Amino acid sequence: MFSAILWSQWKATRALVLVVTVLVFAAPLFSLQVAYTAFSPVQFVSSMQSFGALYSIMAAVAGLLVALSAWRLDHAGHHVYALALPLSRARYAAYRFTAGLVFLLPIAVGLLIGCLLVAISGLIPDGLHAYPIALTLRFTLAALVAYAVFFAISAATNKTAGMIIGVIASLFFAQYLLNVFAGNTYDILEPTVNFIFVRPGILSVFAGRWMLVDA
Amino acid sequence: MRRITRLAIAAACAAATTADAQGTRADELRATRARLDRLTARWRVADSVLKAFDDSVGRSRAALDTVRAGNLRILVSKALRAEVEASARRRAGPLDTLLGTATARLTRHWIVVRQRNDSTLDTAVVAYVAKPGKAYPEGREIDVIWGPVADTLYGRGFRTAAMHLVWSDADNPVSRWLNAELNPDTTTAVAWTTVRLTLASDQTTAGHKCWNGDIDACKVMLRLVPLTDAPTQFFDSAGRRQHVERNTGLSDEPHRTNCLRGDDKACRALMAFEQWSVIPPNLLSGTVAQLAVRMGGSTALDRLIATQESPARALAITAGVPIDSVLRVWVRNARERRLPSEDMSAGIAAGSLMWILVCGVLAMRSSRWR
Repeated sequence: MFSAILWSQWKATRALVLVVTVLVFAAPLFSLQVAYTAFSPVQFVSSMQSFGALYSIMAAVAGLLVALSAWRLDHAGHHVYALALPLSRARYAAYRFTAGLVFLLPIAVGLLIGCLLVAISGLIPDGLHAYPIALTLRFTLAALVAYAVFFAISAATNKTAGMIIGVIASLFFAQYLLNVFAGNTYDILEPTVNFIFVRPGILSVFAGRWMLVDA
Repeated sequence: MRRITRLAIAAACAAATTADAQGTRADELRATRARLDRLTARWRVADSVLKAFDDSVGRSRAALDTVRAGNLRILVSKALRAEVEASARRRAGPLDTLLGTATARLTRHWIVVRQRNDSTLDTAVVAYVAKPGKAYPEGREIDVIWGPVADTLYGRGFRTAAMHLVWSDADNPVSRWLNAELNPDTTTAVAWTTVRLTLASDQTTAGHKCWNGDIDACKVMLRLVPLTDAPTQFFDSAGRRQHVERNTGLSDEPHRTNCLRGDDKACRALMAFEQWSVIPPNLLSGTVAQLAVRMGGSTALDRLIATQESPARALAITAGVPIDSVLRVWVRNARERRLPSEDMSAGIAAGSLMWILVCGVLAMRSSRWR
């Protein structure tokens, strides 16, 4: 049963996976091409650092696309296919979830190859070090987190998705009211953002420095 | 007699011709004297204000309690005494470890902990009494840190004040060479990273050679040898040409053109004229001194402060090994000590896996089909 779901999900996802894999493979090589013009190691590191955000964004996008395509066919068919199967809802969701996790692997491998090519290129200035495996692991975990979050949201009912959006909107509205009635004394957004992006927040893996080459 | 009369007449004539000039000079002298009087009066006022301030500081010190903990001598507001004393006792041991035998120098100085009155919060300030000078016979209080009353405030204050006070005893060639206060603590990985990047990025030939382990080049980079001819000490001939090529500010046109054509004499002449653009700033001396202190054991800092030798000799005395050995370790550390990658850690992995699991379980428990 799992192999059938894997195959059907692969057909829905492979084009996206291919495009994202090519992009993440090219990103380290592109960053090297840009940083190579630097006239000192300090500038080289600074140039590489500017690409850190790109890796985290690509991880989020990869997770999002794979998660949405995992449920796309079910949403389109109003879940009739899934209900027709002799499977519990939990087991079916687990198969879909695992299949999506598998599809993130080619993307991670693409990034690893790109990073390794940079590391062995001999173009990194003396005194600097490349971290291809650490960066790939970070990217993979970030992509998996993004995938898991969007998979869970996509698997939920419209009501749940609406509630999540409602909570986020309420926070912004509450902050607006606080600013209007209490001046700038209270800030509820910053602690919330910290809660999410500072470890062990759910999106903390995306925060911080992503460095392929560092001192 | 006649001769004397003639001389007298000549003198009278000369006096008559210079009378005007003397009158002008007398006016100038009067104006200068008046200005001097005005300045003296202002100096007296300023001096009396300063003396009054010093006196008030001295009197306010008399109202403070005295605490002794190890080599620390602390003047403290009565209300803070108990907690400051407890904190000082805890900090005395680590300070001995940090400063070695040099902590004994602290017994000649005072640290002050005062309650602050200008705030509604319960705040304190940690200061030290600087060496008394001609202008400040009582010694000025220099604030180190202030903030809400807390053990960490005292800890940081004592440490910083102790380092200031110990280093203030250093008045020797090495302190002038450092041109900053020495932090005797172990050099951090961040500092080694800075050294590595500075050396690896340096555009001088000496910088590259030092990075590759040439100790004589390191001595030039660190100004441990006298700079007699900077263009040749910092650069070889190819380096000089590159330097002139890069620095368009070196604008003595005939020399510049000749230099770029390969005339090394022209390069040297141009660079000797524009010394300021040749000599890179000496930003790395602190790490060498720190290393020497760490290599030299518990009496090292004391030796560094006491010696009147040249910086190179002083560092060797401090470390207890030849300067070349100190610099070899320094270059090795610069090349090898590095920060671990921030990309991945057990914390990041554990946190991410936890959230993946949580989201997976939530997806399986969705109520969509119920």
